[in-house]
Amino acid sequence: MSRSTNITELEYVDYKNIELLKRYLNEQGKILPRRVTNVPSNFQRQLTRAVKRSRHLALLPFVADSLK
Amino acid sequence: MSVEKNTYELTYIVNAVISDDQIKDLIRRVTSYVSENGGEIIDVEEWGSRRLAFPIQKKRNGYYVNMYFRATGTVIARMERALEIDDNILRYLTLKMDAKMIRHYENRKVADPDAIGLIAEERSRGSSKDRDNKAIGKGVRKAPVSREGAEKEEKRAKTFERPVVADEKPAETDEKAADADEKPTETDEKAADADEKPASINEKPAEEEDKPAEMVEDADEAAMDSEKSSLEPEADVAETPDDPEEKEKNKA
Repeated sequence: MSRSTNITELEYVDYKNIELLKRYLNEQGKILPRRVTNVPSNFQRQLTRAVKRSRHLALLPFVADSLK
Repeated sequence: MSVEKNTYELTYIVNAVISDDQIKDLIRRVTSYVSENGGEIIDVEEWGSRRLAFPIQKKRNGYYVNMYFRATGTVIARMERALEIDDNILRYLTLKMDAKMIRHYENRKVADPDAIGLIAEERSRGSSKDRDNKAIGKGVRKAPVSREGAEKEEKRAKTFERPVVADEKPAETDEKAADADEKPTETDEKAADADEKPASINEKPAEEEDKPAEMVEDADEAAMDSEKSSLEPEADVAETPDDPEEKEKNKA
């Protein structure tokens, strides 16, 4: 399973992996920009898609008072 | 009739307010719909009842089902239409799995044959209530709860995961009095389920201990990285959102 340590090894960012996704959201549940996350663009794009899928399934909030 | 089959992943949320039998029946119907239309079911996983991140149709809980199957593309549209019509399906998501996703799926399977399912923090929180996690609020989530632990939990998902619901209920009764009222019987039944798996609950705490350390390292790294871009506060909050000061800054 996706390990926190090595993002680059991740081939596919799974919308089910909400623990991983949460690390790239701010308090309100917004997706952090890449200048903050410092991840490869490919990863960021997958991440964004995965977060949006997660939100659709109510696994992650669209807006939150405090996500963490 | 040699239409190409694709692999699909379908996740849907069933209204958790209806009875267990009705849920099972609905899942059976969806599954058989696919198989009757020439689909091959690869796997059906029930994540069980989970708290929704936001209410859908006034429901705060949903029963998640995740299935994998191979079918021709024509099945999908009709299946989605059926899902759309059914009032007890709150949401669904169908994905066509490309090679990467299939590989990802298989890797997970190989790594832990039973442990497919949601990587959920809720679950580890619910079952390991021996720890002080029940105090919810910020305290619970700030230290990213070990993914490892969650994975272990997945094993239990195979059977049923209702005990978690039963666990959650008392703590959050205020908020969802409505939900709770609607299914008092379910909660009772679930108590029996909970008894069946003390073993896996016990093996958890040990594993969870080494993980947080790893996470912390990560957070530090990330913080250092972002110092370069002088955006430390925000990044920091993202990684370790427990420092009130940082939070203030972030908001400002």
